Amino acid sequence: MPDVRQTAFDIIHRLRSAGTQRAVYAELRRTGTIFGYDAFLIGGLPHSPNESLADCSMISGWPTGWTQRYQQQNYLHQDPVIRYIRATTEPFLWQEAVTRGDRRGLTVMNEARDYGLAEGFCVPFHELDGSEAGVSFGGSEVRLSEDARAALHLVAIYAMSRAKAIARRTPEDDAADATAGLTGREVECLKWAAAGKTAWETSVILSISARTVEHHLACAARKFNAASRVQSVAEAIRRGIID
Amino acid sequence: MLKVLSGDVEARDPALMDRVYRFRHDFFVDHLKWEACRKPDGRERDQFDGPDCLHVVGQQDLVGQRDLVGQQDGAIVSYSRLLPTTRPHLQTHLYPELLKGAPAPSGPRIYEWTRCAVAPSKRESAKGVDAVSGASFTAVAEVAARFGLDGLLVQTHPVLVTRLMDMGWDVEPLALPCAYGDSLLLPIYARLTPETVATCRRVFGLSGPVLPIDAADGPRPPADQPHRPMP
Repeated sequence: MPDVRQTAFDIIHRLRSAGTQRAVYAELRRTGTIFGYDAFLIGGLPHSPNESLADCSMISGWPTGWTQRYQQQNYLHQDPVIRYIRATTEPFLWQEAVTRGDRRGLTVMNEARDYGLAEGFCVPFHELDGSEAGVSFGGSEVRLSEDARAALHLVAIYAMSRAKAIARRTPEDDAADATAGLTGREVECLKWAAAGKTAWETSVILSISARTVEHHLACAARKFNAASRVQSVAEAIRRGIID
Repeated sequence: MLKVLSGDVEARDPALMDRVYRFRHDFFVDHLKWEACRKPDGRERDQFDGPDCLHVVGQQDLVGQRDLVGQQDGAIVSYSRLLPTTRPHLQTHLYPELLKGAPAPSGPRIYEWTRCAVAPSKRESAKGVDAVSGASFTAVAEVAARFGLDGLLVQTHPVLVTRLMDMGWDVEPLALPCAYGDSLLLPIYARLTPETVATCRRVFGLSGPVLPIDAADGPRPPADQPHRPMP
């Protein structure tokens, strides 16, 4: 890897614009080929003994076989990595969690090995509301230099942030985001501005006053956080609101 | 109660600033054991303090009476310092090595958020966020909006970086997380977005501004020319 820092920043740049779980998943898969992990999991920690992996997993890149086995055995509640997340704010190797864990934990980790998850690295999260979460990277051999560890730490922070943001989104959010909450009149005025019409010409076309046209364009600019009419038009085209 | 102090506040209200520096000494030196900042007079004031910085001070609410020591306002319970990046600040003059040669944003609309503290006695739990912390974090976002800032440089633990993201800051990393002392530090640029203040308030369950509506206690920094009206 020529420049770990730049590699990490490039991954983060793409993660930040990832709008779907699938996009985050694909980026983390790609990242695995660079840093040498085979599987990953983004998940919250259980709040109650009734919760299972399926309840807690946010974006899973675990092998299917292991997911099924883990779910059947309800390993969530004896997984030493999960337990160690609660005890630390610093990223750690799975091995460190095993060392501090008990026999039941060791059983989980030994079985994971059979599914190609012999070694791993985990980044813990301690959220504002007091809940915990983690991003885990695993594989048959996960050997990270100090820089690679720092890079994966940063990748995990952004992957988690995106996963949470995506989970919070509703279809209404998606629609509102695309149109930035523009009204029909504002969109019409932008269309005419894009066609090269002045506010006065637009006012004649739409049979409204020129001042009202100016007002609609100013509102649109504010919603886009745009500094000028040209920027508003560019933004409206970029978002596919006008063409 | 929160307020932002700017300008030559040491000349204007020396008693208050004295309490600010003592609060900082109690927190950073006595509580966090930042021995390098220990001062014989118990006032944690450094070369970056001066009329150009903004002090975001949280004080205990008093219900219409003076407190035990006769002060007109309550004990200091939270604090943050914002340093202009047009002058020497921590990123440039204390630990430039954090960025390993990469540039950090700077300019009249970018400040550096330092010395963030909440009185340990006011922190209801080690996990999650209590009312005093929530209000003090929100106050910093409100100050940034009020002074027309674009964003803040922050060097902090990665766990807090995640929290800043959750509070609605648009966070850009400036380096990889690195060991600093016996902890991790991640230098970031946190951009204020049109939603940051509202997100802070929502996350902490606040119904309105935590800073008084009137202008800051003191003049705006001279370099500042806000062009973007913010709520």
